[in-house]
Amino acid sequence: MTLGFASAVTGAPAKRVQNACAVLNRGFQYSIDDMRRLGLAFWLVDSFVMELKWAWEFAGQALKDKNDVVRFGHPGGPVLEIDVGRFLSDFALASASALKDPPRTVGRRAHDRPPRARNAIKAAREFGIDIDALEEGLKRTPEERLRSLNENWRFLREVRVSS
Amino acid sequence: MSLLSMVAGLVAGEVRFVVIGGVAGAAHGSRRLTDDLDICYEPSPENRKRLAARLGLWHAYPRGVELGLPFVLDEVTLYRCPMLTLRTDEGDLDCFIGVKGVGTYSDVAAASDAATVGALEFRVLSLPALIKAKRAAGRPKDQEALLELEALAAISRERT
Repeated sequence: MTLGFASAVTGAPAKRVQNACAVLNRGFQYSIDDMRRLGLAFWLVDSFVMELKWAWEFAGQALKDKNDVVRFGHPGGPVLEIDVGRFLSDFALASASALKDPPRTVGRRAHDRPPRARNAIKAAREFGIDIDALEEGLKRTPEERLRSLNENWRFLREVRVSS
Repeated sequence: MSLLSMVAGLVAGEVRFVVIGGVAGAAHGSRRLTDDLDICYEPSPENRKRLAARLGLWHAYPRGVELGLPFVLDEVTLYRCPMLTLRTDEGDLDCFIGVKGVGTYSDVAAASDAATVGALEFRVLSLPALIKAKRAAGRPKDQEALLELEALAAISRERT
């Protein structure tokens, strides 16, 4: 995965991810397993003001555990409790968001916003948009347009399922 | 299972939301096909609970992510993750608590229009607000959609 993706899924700035990987000698390949563990380590660092190397070890052990809630500590002493199930849910949602809308690749120029066209219809036509079809569509009610979209969506899903 | 059945399910679950994205565009005359439903929901504790309950019924799971991982979807998850990209039994659903270029849920609700499909009543983001959102997103993939929406607004102005 890219550094931007790693930053998105761990919820940390790219520089923090790079620095952590350097401190932990993990290289800069940003594998999904490493980033899952690093995301949990960052949470431990931020929540318990723990040193990153300790947090990394705890995170590794917690993720290997089969329980949703993992506890570290001795009887009668302080206990460190990690809700791994909750963390993994957040991590999965962050991954899904990053997959749908990938973060900008570092170094690439930010996308320019398109200039406002003086004549929107002319600009759309020049781009290749069928203005006659738009005008035809506007003769229908919003309800008819939504029903039509719904039918097209169903059809596409059926095609996808059968292929 | 369809886009409208998802909307109907959310309405039946008394979730407060506004339809945004491609489905809202279609309501205003866009001819672009969309394969998911995007909503902006009110981020109040009660509404999060209602939305989480509905998503639970639909077995929602993060889209594109390896199946079978532990996943808890409740109001706490909704509180912690402001953007949800989900696959559900009813179809793909993206949930947000605000829209870039428009604002928070209350701004989005204020910039929405009523929509009716049969007995189903819900809110969709207005055409000017959709244009603002597309401009603010500024992604190359939004450029064609933006040109189409601006053309729709111009045609509507010409007609009135």
